[in-house]
Amino acid sequence: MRLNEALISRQVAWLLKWLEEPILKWFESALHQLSLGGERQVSIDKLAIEWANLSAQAGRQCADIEASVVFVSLFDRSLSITELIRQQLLCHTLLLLDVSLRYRLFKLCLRYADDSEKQALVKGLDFLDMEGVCQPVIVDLCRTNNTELFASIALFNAWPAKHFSDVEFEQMLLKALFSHFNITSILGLKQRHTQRLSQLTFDYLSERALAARDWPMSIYSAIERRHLTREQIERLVCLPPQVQASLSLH
Amino acid sequence: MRYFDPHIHMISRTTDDYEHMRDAGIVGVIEPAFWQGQARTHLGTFIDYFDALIGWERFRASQFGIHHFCTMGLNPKEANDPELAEEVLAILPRYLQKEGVVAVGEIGYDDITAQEHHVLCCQLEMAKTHGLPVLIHTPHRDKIGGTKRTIEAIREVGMTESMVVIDHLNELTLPLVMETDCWRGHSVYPNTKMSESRMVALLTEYGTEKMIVNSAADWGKSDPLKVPKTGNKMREAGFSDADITQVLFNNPIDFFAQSGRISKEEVNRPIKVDQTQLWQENSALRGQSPVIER
Repeated sequence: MRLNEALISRQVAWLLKWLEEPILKWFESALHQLSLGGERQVSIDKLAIEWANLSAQAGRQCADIEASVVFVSLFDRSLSITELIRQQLLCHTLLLLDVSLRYRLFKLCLRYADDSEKQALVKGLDFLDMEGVCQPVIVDLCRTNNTELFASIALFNAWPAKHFSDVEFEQMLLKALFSHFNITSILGLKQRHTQRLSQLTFDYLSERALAARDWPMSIYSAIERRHLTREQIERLVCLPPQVQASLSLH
Repeated sequence: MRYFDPHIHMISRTTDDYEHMRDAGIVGVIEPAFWQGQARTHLGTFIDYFDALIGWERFRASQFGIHHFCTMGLNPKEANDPELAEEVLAILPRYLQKEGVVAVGEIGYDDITAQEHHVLCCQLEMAKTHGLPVLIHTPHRDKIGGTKRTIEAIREVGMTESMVVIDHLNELTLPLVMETDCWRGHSVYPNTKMSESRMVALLTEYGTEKMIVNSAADWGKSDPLKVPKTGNKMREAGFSDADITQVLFNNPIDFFAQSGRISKEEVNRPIKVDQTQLWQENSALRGQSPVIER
């Protein structure tokens, strides 16, 4: 599990510059505490518990500034200060470990995390795991019923498009539609788009239309008419005029 | 009119629901084993859940005059944890023997992964071994593909099609199942599955043979009265009482009666409610006066 260490260093530096007392002092002592654990070579399980404890403390420490959200090029997406601290605490812990042990720690931290903590971690996947080692556990996390957590994986996150298989990416897209998300916020959709993705999305659109139910307007961005099967083109005639009109434009 | 809801997760519902269901004419239910809204991480939580389905929940239903049966299985969402899945598969046979367990289910596909396929096929084999019917869930995503794969899996394992109900069908997937000998399940559920009107339209187009309707009510925003409400909609559309009884009472019981553990006679026999009874020293009442029917 390889981390983007250069970016992480810049993020920590940004945090140390941005944070004010008393949170700054707490953050520095938290990093020190984790370093001590690494030096003493405590077990992976204890490191995960240590991270979970500090992560929970981060939520309480930042309660007053939780509403503030940072969005800078350094982070590629909007993040709360709490999320940023949680990510950096984990990065710090992972970097204390041999590469071969990092995935085990990451999995344990996810296991001990509540959903808001999981959201923080998955938002950082692009610099936490540059090789896609965490793919099985993130695919599993996509099965959550928590739409905010799922959104953290699926939207404004470059990592799934880089590391999910075609089938996994299709499932993520379909679940995003099912969750009424704006799928134009799925990064890498254009690059991962396939004929099969068009067909699956069209089937979903047909189901919704035949049931007289609504669908996200962004659905059309995942359907290319030329990709549809003959049977689907025939079915299109039975769908509402707005669907036919929208698809004639794509 | 008597109704039977062959797919409802009562463990997530309240005693008010049981009372309203009985008032609406529901005299029996089948509760398929399913997931709990978030993934379980230990075998023990499955064991306790399965025990509750055949124990406390069955008792609780009886306290409101409703016959309770269940199906046992490992649901597709949680099938994706290979280690845990193997542990659950290992203990399932002991539950398939229990009183009140009338099928294997609900099993099937969710993400349509190779691991889900493995777990589905293992459970179809178990159903064959135990001579039980099977309740199969079709996925929310890639529903057409999932339904086709389900039919392929049934044929791959050599499961008798008439021993299978394929559930959560809609306008696009019902025609696929109509080409098989499987029974056809439909969930009338707000927003995500069928509505009463659409269900009536399907019955009008495809007839009533092997057609089954359920509420699939669970811990989500759902309605445990969808079966009687569908009955009302059928009546408005001109279906006879005999048709309504066939679809909303006889068909589901006839299907699950293939287990040899449920019959129309049994479900028709009223339960005499006696709320003074206890289950493991526990009552469903909280200080209310117990109802005792003589």
